[in-house]
Amino acid sequence: MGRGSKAKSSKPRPRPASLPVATVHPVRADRRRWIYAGLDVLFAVVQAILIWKVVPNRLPSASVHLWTLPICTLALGLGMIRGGNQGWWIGVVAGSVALFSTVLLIVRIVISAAFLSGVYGAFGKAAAMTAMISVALLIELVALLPIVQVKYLLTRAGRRAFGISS
Amino acid sequence: MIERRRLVALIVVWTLPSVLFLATAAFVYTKFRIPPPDRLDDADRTAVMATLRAAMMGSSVPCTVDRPVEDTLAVTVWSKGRAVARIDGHGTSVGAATQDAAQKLAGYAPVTTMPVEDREAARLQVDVITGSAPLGGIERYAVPGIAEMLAINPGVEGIGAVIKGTEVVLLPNELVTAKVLAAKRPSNALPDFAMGIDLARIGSLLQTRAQATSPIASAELFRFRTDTFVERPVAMRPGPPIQLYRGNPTPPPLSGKTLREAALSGGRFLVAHLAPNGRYIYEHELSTGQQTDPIRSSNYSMPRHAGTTYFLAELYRITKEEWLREPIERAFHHLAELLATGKCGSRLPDGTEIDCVLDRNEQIAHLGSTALAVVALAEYQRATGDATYLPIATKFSSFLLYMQRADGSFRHLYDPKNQKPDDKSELLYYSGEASLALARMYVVTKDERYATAANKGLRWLVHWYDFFMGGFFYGEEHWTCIAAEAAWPTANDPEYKTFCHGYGAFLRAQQPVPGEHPDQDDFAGAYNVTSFVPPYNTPAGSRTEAMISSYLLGKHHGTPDPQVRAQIVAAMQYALGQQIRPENDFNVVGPGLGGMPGSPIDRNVRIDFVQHVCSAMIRASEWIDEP
Repeated sequence: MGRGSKAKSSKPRPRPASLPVATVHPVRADRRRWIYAGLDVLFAVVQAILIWKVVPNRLPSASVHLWTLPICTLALGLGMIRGGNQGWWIGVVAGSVALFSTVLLIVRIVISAAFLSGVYGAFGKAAAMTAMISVALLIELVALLPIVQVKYLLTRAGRRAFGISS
Repeated sequence: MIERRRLVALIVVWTLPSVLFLATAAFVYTKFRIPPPDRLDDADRTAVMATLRAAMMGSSVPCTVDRPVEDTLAVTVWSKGRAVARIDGHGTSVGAATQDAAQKLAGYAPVTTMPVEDREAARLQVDVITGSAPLGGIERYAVPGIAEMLAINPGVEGIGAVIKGTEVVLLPNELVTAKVLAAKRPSNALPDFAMGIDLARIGSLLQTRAQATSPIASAELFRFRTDTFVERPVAMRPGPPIQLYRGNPTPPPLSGKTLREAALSGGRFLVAHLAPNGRYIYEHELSTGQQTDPIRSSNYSMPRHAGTTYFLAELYRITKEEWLREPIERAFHHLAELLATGKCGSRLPDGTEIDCVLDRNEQIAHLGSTALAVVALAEYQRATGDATYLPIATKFSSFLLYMQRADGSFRHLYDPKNQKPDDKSELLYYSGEASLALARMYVVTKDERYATAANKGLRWLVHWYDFFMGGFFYGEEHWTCIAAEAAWPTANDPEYKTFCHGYGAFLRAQQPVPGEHPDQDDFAGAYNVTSFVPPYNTPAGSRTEAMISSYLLGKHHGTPDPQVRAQIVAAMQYALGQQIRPENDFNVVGPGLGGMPGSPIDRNVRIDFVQHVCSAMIRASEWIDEP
């Protein structure tokens, strides 16, 4: 039976004796790989322009943090283009780092909001709205693509597109 | 098993981020929060002050107030607006710290050698430190700029350090006076907008106060909050010391009478700041007494000269106080002097004489200067019935008509040398001011040309917003709404009322109500987009002037907006609290009574701050007591 030909099998699958080893299988054409690659490059360019021109930051630590986003998104795209075992790993790692970096950015917003509430006694509607818009934009412009892409890479279809089976 | 693992994973995915964010928020909030002080009551404040006053006058009264203090109780002695002594008492209770401060005060030569009458007139300010928390320290983890720009609650929190085992502090009011609270300019596009504390300077000030030899690192600094109170002025003693919040006492209750008195007090301030040559002392820094030179300073604005004189004329029209008349005429005389230079006057091809206001150092005439001069001259004629200035006002008004385009809009700049209006430049306020000037000219002359032109100007201003995005916002339209009411009933389009009520709703979104920001309740009624930056005081006046007109316009149409009325009441209550009066003039150098500082943390008074706020006050005083 070809893998993935049925969503669920009534028979229990035989357990391997040891941890699965990634093996290279024949690549199956999947257009999503190229669509994702295109989106990655587009988002990476938009993010880079935003960081470079719209919200440049003079602090090295903040600047490094911000630049992880377009760099990881671009790496994600390059992984998709490269394909194969290496491309798959590059995609999964870059996507995960981008997600982790986004969570850290949201934590920074939470810390700032809590700090201001502590010092000023309240956060206020305008500030709360600004913080929520910032988080929403982060999710939309940064987190959404790696989330769906890493999920795709971890599915059977994603693995097959990269010729990987476990 | 797999199903269970999936369920656990699902729960973790949906809850773990929230737990992480909530835990982070709780930790940071707890670390940086200083609870508001549990304030001393009348009896305790009186007892503390009795001990300190006795020490100052050479006697001794023990203090037994058993209330908590976080080590330090600071005493400031104010004499003629200047701090002549700053003493810190230390102890485990308010009583013990007061005794310590009293002992030091009794032996402090600059105070004990003051003449007795000066010592009696001096006012003691007490700051009881009630809590402290770290100053910053999260810059690396927060959104860049937040912790640096908004490190302390300005005017409410002080900064201190422990140096050689002793706590040394800079009080909230000292940070305001030292101008270290708004020391950074985050945007080149907004050069007037400054925020963020100057840590290097604060460290240096603390080093000087502690007489330390080595500089104080930022990491050693902490924030603190105080329960602050000040002795009453001599004329108001005896009585419990006055509680202060951000340097101000509780404002007087709002009524027509208090508003009228406050407006007259503002009028006295302006008259005291009008030089013999008819020019105003443009700015007065209350903390130092420094004032601009009305003869030589190039820092002057003719629109503001005209606007301020307009307010004095309005005040005279409503109150009929005779002491106002001569200064008003003196200020007009200065305008006439400028006219006599003949730099701006000319004759149009149809023979009409025009003239405009041009200051000594100006080459280009601004429409607003002439428009506000007309408003002021017309107001004077309304107030006195004296038509002395009507010929000048007529020439100015002809200039305004000349500058108006066929569609009702105005050109804002004029080159008198080449007799050429500038068709490209668009500046704030001027179109509304010109419409108001023409509406006022109609009132004093009944010349229909003015009414028609005012209506055309208003129509253009109101319909400028007729595009999709225009429905979401308003610009600075306060002169538009003042003009819309001034043009009633000749301009009786209900759209003007709808526009101005909409403008009111737009502004109300920027007006906090009491309880909205508990630590910042003193900002309630002011206009500001965030409670992290203290509001400027002038908008509480200029926008209220517009709201008064909006409310009256609603009344004229039979549909007054009660929300606009409440908005006016809130703004006026805020403004009353900010104005300089005997209770809060202890730290004012020079004739500051009636003045309106720039903001709760800016002690500079400019003539137009007083003009706008007090104009709103006197107009509101006429009907605010009505149900």
